[in-house]
Amino acid sequence: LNRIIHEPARLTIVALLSTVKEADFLYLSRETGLTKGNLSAHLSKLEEAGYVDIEKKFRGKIPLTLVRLTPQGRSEFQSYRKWMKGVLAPSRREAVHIPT
Amino acid sequence: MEGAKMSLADVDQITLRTSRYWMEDGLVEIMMGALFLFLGGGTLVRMALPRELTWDLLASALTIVGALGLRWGFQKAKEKITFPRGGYVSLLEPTRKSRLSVRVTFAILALISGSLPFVRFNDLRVQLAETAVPFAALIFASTLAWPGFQLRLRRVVFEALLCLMFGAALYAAGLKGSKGVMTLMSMIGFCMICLGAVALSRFLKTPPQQPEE
Repeated sequence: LNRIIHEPARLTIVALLSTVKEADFLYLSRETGLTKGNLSAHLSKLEEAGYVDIEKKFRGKIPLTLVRLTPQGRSEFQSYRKWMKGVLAPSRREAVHIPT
Repeated sequence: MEGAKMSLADVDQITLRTSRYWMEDGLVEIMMGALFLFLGGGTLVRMALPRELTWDLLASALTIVGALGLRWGFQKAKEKITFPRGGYVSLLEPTRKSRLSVRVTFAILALISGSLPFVRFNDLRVQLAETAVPFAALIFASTLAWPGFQLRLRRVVFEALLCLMFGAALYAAGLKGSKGVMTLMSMIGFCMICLGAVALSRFLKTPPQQPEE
């Protein structure tokens, strides 16, 4: 079990990034519903694990933070999905509870 | 996402969200509709004009410029309207398989439309002309229905139904061959622009996100 991806907020971020080349902080904040501080913290953890690349730049005078999944992050997410499908094979619609 | 649990279905839903976001503002439909209207309407106008090399060259040049212009306009509209409101997203490059399927679809349609005037065997020509409109309607409808069902976008499924209805109506009206296909494309294009404009006006009513600080 990949603890970094298994956390719901980070799983949402990784799942969102899995279908795109890159997305900005504004989009991730909109789709996850996380506060800016929370999102930053989760992105930092994903970056530390080497799952995402974060690029900070400016568009005019507005800061722009671009986030993209690294090949490692992409493959970890695929493995996690495979694991989840395996676990939920008998009853696919059941929720997975995070062990504390 | 509820508390500390998340199901596989939730993850599947999340992965679909980006594709839905890409379609949410209606700009894709406006661009596709404009392209259909431009190609269909333009060809109908071209067919009404006398067959001369000058017109042929002008039509070809206009088609290329129009298609490039639409692409440029779409990118600018995304940058000005969508990204400041909902955030910037860059989609993954299409796979070789999906590129191939789009090319094959257009090649079949171009082959049918383009070959009709040159088919010498009268029976075959009549048969191709007879079936061109329903065949094209079926291809357009399935091309729209697939992402419509996949992304659960009722608007796009409705457009697919419209394709079938227009195809049936044109067939019943006796419109055949290239003229029928181009009329069908113009009608679908017009409807896509209208439905895309409704989606865009809804999207513009949503409050924009606070920019980064």
